[in-house]
Amino acid sequence: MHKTTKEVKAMLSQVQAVVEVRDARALASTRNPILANQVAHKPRIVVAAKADLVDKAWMEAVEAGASESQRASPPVEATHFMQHGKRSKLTTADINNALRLRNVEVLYGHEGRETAREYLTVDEVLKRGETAEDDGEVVGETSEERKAKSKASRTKSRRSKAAAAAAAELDNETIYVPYDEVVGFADIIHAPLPKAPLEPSFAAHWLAVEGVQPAVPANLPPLVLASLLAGEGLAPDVVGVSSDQIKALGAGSLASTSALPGTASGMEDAQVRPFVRHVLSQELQMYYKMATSGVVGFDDELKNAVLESIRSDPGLHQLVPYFVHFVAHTVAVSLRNLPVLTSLMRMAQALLESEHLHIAPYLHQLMPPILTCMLGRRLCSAPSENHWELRLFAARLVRYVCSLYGSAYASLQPRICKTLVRAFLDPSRPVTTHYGAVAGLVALGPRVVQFAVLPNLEAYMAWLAPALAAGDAEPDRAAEASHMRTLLLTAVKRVLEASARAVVAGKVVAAPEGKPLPPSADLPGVAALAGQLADLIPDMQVDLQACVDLLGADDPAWTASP
Amino acid sequence: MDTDAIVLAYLKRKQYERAEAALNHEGRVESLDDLAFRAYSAVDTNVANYILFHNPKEGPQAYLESYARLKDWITTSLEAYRDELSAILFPVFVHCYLDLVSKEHAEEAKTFLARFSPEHAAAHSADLAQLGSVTHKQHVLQNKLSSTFRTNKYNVRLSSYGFELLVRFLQEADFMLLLAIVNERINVLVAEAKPNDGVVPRFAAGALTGLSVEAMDELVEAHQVHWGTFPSFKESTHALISEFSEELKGLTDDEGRPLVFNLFTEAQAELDASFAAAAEEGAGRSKRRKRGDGSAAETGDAPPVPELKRIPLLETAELSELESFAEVRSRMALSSTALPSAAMYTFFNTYDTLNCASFSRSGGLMATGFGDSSIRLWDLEGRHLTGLNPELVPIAENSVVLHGHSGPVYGLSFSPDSRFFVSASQDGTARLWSMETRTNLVVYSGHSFPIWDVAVSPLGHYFATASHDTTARLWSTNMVTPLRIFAGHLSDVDTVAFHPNSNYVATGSSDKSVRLWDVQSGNCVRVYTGHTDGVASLAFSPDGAKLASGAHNGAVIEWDINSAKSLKSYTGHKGAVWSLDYAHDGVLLASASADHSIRLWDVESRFLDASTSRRQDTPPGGLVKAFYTKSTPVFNVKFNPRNVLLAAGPFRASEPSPHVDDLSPAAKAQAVGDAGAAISMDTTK
Repeated sequence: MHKTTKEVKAMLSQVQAVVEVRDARALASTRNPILANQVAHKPRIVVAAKADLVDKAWMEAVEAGASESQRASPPVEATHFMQHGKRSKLTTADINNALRLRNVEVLYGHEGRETAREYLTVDEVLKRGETAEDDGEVVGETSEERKAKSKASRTKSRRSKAAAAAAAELDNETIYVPYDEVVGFADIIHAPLPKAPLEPSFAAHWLAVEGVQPAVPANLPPLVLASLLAGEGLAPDVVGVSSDQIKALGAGSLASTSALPGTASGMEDAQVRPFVRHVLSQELQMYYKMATSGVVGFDDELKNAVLESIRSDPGLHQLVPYFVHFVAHTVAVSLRNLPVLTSLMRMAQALLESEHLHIAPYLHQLMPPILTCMLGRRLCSAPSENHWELRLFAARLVRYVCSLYGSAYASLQPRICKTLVRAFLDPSRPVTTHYGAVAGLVALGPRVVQFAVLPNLEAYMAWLAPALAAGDAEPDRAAEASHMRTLLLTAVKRVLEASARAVVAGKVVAAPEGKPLPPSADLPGVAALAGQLADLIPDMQVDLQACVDLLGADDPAWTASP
Repeated sequence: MDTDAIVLAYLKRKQYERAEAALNHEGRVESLDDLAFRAYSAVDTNVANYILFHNPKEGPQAYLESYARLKDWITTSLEAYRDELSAILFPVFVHCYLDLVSKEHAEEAKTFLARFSPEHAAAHSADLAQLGSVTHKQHVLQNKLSSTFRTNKYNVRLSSYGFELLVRFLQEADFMLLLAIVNERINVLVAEAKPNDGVVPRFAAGALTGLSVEAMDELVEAHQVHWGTFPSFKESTHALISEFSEELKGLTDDEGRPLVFNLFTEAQAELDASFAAAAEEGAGRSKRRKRGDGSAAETGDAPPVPELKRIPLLETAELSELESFAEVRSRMALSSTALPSAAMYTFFNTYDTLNCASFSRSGGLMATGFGDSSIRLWDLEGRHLTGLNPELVPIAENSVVLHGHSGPVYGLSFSPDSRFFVSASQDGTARLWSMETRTNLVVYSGHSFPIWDVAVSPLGHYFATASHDTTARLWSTNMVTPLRIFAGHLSDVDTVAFHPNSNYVATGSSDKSVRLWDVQSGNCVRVYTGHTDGVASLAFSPDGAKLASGAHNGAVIEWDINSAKSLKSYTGHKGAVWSLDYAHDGVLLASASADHSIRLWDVESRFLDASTSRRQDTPPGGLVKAFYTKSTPVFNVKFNPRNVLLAAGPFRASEPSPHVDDLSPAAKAQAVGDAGAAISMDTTK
């Protein structure tokens, strides 16, 4: 008792109001006289427990007035728990945690209660009690239930009436009575189990893209945002963000396409605000006009100067989106104009190679024209023009992009590979497209060729055979086929050389028979090399020998450089 | 000088007041110290008089009257002195009230509180609520707040002229009560400076720290803070590039195909060149900053870097690996015009039990602590999280629940290599978890009270915890007992942060102060005072020279670490600032708040305060941009290595937006309509 008294005393200094619990049957005698002085100045609530057991007790309760306390109100520590739960509402759990902290027994039976118990004034309770009784009459129920219910409401109304009488005597006080709803026993027994709560989950969205909040459903509406920003003295977002840009960011910026699982669905129905004009200085506009006309023009000197300027001049960043758009647009409209396409690819190269331009956000716009120049069905006006060179050039650009951004955008290279392999394996596509695809795959390295081209080589050669044999009847077709064959030779040669180099470097375990490794300087003939490698690398998975045989081991193209 | 003093003393003893005044008046230039001393001595004699001739009839009404006069005098004084003088009002107010209570004038105390508390409500609302519960003589010493006020002197900095004005006023108006309070309860440090020149901070100059102003200044003189960061990988470019290309060769995608097949020499050369350029640019920027910032200039040209072996650290080779070349290369350069993108992770169905969220360094993982003692791990890149522990059943594709604590989890922090993380809980323990096995490895028990926050050193190996027991402790992962106990705060330590060079730990407390501790010695080396509410979050700038702290009342203050002076105060948040983070190049500061917003502050802008630097074209107070969320208080912000801002918070449909009052009528209508949509969004998840 002494310890508790001390505890309560210590606590009292930090409380603002006191809740005093007394037995309603002996209100005056269940107060704590020791603490009476302590709480003289505190506002307090006297709770009369077990009120349902008495009628007269209520009179006493009111007469005794409210003066002392037994239980202190929430300790200060509870607010610390609230703050660290990052909430603005104090919960019963916070109070219990604070009590635990002080080694005081917690208040049982309140945790997890979502809404506080309802406290009503006497009049309100009386009103409700009556309606409850009425309900009991109206609704047809089993006799036991009705009995239980009416008994409960009788108790309640008796209690309320007692309270009302008490209140009448002391008309300056408002008396609150806890309101317990009358619930039939059967209702509780037969009630279905409550639904299990949903598991916590998260959704991701772009709150802002380069400092601008996009108008997606997960963000506040633009009008609200604009109003809030104006309230802060900030300028509203001026630059609209296109859905393309958002998708591109969603794909790339977090280094993985799935980085924002919630994004894709959220963006579909995005409301996109129209573009607001992006102001360019007069000088930049003139530069842009000059540069674009120079690139597609016939003046080689001017063209070279422009490309060099794009490659090395700082301060062109504002023009990047325009240049990228120019490349994409012009490629689309001049598909038959080989010189223009070549110039545009050189322009793309210059953009990519520039140290001053931040091209990464525009890669998704720049890649389609490059791939077009690689895979296009027909990229020249006459079939005899050397569009093969353009395709090889575009392939080198793809390789460059992959080496530069492959690590940052992990999905970039697999996606390109997939596109190329699909193009190569589609027999409905023309040979020119196949050529571009293989060129791209070759550029991406021997391992890609090994896995994507070689396994399909036999089937492809079978498909290509009629065209190769067409001869003079269809010279164009035959020429295309022979170009294709040369490229395939190159591809196989690359794989052979890479494997040979790997063997030489000792990266592959030497052959079991202990054959001497071929010196790197003089590689044997392809046929022999293929045979040897097949022995040396048992898990090569691809029959190189067969590939070489398929293309003709004695072809002079093996030694010519592509 | 000596003779003067003797003559003065003689005149005083004989009470030849006129002669004394004449001697004083003779145009003798007094040093400021003398002036302060004289004022003090005058106060002392007056207090003696007061005690001697104390008139018991002088009722409690005198407190009300004299405080009201003091207040009027300060509010009507010249603007130049008003700010610094008003700093003295709050402690005087508190002590007047406590005096009234302890002299058992309950009614007058009540009137006093009711009459004068509204003017302090803005800055000290939490204190006023506590003060209101002190209504009895015995409470004064039992209540935590009032006993702190009674047993510690309140620190106030005044300019010499302001101080003289104050003493004159109190003497001439014969306010013995107030003089006694100022003399007994308040520690006035007279700064030798003109008012408003920055020595006296314009916001809340006073504070209770348990240390006198002199002691705090001594700390600054006694300890030099080595705030420089260790040289990073930048010195070993070539080694890293080769390492980088090796690393790339090893990468394969899902089907085992290498992602990058060969790195050509020309590409490598290009990388090399661009890297060198980036490094140069970085150096240039730091130089610019130094020139622009007066306080940093004080600390000299080269930042003071602590010796590498000052505290045992991991091998430097391992350290340099932490920041890979690829990360730096793909990092977006930010400025007040080039703003970052922000990814928001909104939690649903948390039933108000989400306590904290923490991102791994790369931003690929997120750990969340819940009120039901559980920790949930989320993979933000969509990978499976089962790890090596076969018993762990994932609840969703990308999430697992970890059990171990026996109380709400309040703090989480990932190790820099993201292989481990440490959690802190109400049960008084911190636990180390492995990301490989997804199990609890070590339990660190030492605190006997709830731990509010934990921070792992940016260089690994160490972590620090902040607890309700008013201490912060330093641990190393291989020991189950703390290595250091940082004791000194007067109230709960609510938040803790590691300096980038790992040699210092900063703590923020409910006592409204921020302290800096030396990891090596365990001593408090700096105290930063100026907040008017408990400190909720801390962040060090990447260069290690500055510290930002956010408070429960929404204020964010940026400190110069070495001089312990506040550089800037950013105001605008309407709710507690739960999290702060600097962008990787240190140009922007992001703050996340309970008011459903994230704000970006321009660290490099120079402004005195919102009222003086307000021009039409620039936003006030260094605010660059505010991002608003939909009914989601933001618990954590972090810039990932690419300078993309990551943020997390729970969706609370029922919580009213703190910004509703600011909206125009049309916008308000839209916001209300939108709230309905938001609720439907919640239920579908």
